Amino acid sequence: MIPQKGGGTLNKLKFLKEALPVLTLLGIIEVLTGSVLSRSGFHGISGLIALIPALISIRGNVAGSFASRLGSMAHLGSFDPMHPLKTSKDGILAAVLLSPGLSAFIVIAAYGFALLFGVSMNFIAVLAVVVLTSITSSIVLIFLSIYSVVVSFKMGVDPDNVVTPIIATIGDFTTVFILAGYIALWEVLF
Amino acid sequence: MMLIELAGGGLLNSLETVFLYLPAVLAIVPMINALAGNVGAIVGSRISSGLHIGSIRPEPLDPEVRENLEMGFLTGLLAILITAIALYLILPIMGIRMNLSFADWLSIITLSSILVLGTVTPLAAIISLVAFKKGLSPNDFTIPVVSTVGDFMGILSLAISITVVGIA
Repeated sequence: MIPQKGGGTLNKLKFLKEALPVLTLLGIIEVLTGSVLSRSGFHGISGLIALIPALISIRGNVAGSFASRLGSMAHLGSFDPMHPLKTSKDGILAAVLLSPGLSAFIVIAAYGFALLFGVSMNFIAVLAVVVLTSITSSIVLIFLSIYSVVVSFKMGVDPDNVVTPIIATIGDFTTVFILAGYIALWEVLF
Repeated sequence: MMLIELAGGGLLNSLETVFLYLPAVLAIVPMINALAGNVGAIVGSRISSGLHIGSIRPEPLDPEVRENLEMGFLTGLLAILITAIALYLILPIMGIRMNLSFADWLSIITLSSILVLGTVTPLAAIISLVAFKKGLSPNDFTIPVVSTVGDFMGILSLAISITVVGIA
């Protein structure tokens, strides 16, 4: 997909042929995410829906940076695919501590806006569900990232090209799925 | 940037009652956001690579830039239209009520995609050019910014389309 000088129709068809299947496939996976979201019962917790884009986006960014840092570390040799957990310990710690902190901050900011604009928001419920989701999905995505980088390395594929978009899309689905789970748990308990 | 996401969330919140009646529209929010993010990332990466290897000059009117914009826009639009047509049948099978005529469904998605892609593709190009001139990394800068704006635009464009098509 490297741009060539003097484009023309041939180059455009190549773009279409390469990008269209990927975009369509990723779109379909996202629809699965959307359908889980529709049926997750978020209506039961007022104000939760407002946090969902931010939650998904934090997840995507933190997991994506972790994955791409792993990829760089692998290239530099400080990440050993033969002993994945040992050599990525610090990254794991940072990512796991960062997510709930960021999420809690966002929820508090959102609550501030809610108060300001007179919008109703169930602060405790939203905080609990969002923080729990972010901790759980961080752990899941971190292990997924490590596994993907190891696999792509063993297959001789450059992790930078493949892992990040995959982690982003799977990350969206995983996050929403876990969110739905915690919403259900909350509804059952309270 | 998180504030932009919160703004998008706030918009979703005010549309909450609409989504209760139109769960199918909520179901496509992640898809439209992902489309915006992915097309933005593709256009941004291609322009960044082009700038680095020298086949693109750092001017917005460079023909390669325009070509990438057009193709990004068209490919994204095509991808989502194909999916949208299939989804009209598939979503109800998955248990998500459609509550919309095919014409309304298609109009909402088409208008929304045009708005989103029309904003995100030029934005991706501009950010790539700026990032290149300032020596910023495309992965750390361009893609996160484009995804975040794309998410907000995705939600906003759906809100606009729903209003224009006259559902809400």
